[in-house]
Amino acid sequence: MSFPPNRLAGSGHRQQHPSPLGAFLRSATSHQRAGGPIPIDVLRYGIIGSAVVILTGVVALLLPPAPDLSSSGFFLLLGRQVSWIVEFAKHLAVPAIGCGLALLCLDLYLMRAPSGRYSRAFVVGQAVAGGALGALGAVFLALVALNMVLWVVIVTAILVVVVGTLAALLSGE
Amino acid sequence: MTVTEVLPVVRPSAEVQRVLEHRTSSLVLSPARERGIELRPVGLTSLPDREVVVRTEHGTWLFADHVRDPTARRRLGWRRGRIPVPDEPLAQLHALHDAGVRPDLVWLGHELPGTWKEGDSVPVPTPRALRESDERLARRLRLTTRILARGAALTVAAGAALPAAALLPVAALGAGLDPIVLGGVCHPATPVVSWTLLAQWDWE
Repeated sequence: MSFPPNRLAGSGHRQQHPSPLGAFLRSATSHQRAGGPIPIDVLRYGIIGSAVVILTGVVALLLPPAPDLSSSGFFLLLGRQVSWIVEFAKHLAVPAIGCGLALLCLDLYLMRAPSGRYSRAFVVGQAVAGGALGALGAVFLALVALNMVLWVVIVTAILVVVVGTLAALLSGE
Repeated sequence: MTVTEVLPVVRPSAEVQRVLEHRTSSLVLSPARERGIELRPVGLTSLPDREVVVRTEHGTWLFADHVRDPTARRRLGWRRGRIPVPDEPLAQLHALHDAGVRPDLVWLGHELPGTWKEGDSVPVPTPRALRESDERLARRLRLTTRILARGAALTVAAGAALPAAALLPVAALGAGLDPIVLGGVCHPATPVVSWTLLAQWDWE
């Protein structure tokens, strides 16, 4: 073990500098106010929120343009509302993907760095944003599902009528 | 467990001990006593020039100069590299400084988890108030997510609901690994330090 000479006591060198205890106190901070890393149990809601925001943005970009959707004939019910949702999501897509990726990077930092209550509010904000866009996606999927069910009902009804008619014709002969 | 049980103690000559006792008394013990604070010398060691890891039957301890303390925490913004100390021992350390206590060295000792190995960080638990608010927040988020997921599942029969991830319990961080703050007084000629316990606490 070596002994740096300037660390030995009794030299005038130490007198010219602030005391080590004073220096320590200047570098110390109240633990109660120092914050702490956000637990993964909380942070994952922010991460999921950002992931949902990114996923919704990507899906919105992949969808055909809103006028094409509404004029496609698939949407028998609430087609206009679907095109509004798609148009809104398409406008939001690029900023949402950018923000989502940036926030994910920040989450990775917050996982380790100590931070206070404000960063917790920020994670909650992320989760809310994810929830809002997720809800938008859910409404869109619900409308798609509703129209799909309508199509299934119509096709089934047509098939029933056709098969019934054929059966009636065959039995008449 | 006492600090002397984990510090690598040396036994220098009687003369060195006498000088160190005198210096410790004048620089640390007497000023503190005048302020009504009784400090306890904990032993003599050779002057360390770098952090020391001591493994004993009482656990693993890491001793480091406060300028290289591994718990100095980085955070967002301008408050960088600060060493977290609970309010009560921090107030005592300020009182000691105000009383004129002037050790040559200030080192911190950190009790380490049994699984600690070289290169690992030294754990500092999140403050209790923040920990409790984190637990409340996690509970609320869990509940909200469950309600939203049920709502989405009802809305989209195809199952477009958000996947509910498996819930992990909040990490129990208040492990109670005790840090200590030691004031060291050096011998003027030989590399021997007399240590005094300035503060000690358990993380809540």
